[in-house]
Amino acid sequence: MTDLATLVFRSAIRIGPADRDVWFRAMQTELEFIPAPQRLRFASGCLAAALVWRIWTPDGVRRASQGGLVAASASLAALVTILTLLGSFGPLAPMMIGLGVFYAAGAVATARWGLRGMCAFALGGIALNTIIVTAWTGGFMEPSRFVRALSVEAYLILATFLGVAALGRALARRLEHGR
Amino acid sequence: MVRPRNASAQTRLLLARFADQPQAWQYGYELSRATGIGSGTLYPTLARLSDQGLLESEWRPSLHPGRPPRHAYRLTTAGIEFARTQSMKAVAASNPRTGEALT
Repeated sequence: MTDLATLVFRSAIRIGPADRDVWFRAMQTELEFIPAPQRLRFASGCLAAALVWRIWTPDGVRRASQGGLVAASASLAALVTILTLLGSFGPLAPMMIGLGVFYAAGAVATARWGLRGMCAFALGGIALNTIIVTAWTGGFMEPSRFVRALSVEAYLILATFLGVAALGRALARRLEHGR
Repeated sequence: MVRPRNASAQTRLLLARFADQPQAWQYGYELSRATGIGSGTLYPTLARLSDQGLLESEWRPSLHPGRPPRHAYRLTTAGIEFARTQSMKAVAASNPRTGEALT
């Protein structure tokens, strides 16, 4: 049994949680009764079920949300830093390096303290952004259009991060209570 | 045991299939073929119904000689009742007047 369907099914068993073992044995038995042309489709479905069972748990949802947010924040930090080093921002380079460090801090906080860390980071970032915008409107300085756009973008990014983290936490709690 | 909530359309389809022959043991592949529900949805649904105490399962000898025993499923008494409730809700949703008359 070394056909593609069997390989896909073996991946499903490897990915699937141990507490669903009886269901994987049930699927494996059924696979033997399925006509050859339909076996790959059936095995792919089993792989999808394994992924659902792996992720759709309180811990799985927390880990997936946390991993996604760490990756997103770290990617933003890397992107901003690389573009700054390539000279894309001219005199604004120090501010952009600061922004890169800020997103890197978000990635570290999320990796270290999970979704709670991301919520604190995003709320802190939104508060900081608001203080800066308030200082502008108070006549502290006149920012360029680029900086204004950057501030709006930061609001959107941080609100999205906060939304994903809050949703991940709520979903994990709901799954916990539903068990 | 988890308290069952309102069932999805696919779960209702599956429940209806079981409710047609409540005493008969049914197999995964046949259920998938009869309902058109793929294995990726079928098995998580069967597992959830089982976790909720609505479905019972057992390994039954295969009718084909030399083949391994198969995992078979049928509704429990609570499952039959739940299937009936869901069916009535579906009827009520599709035709509010009839639904009122039923309840």
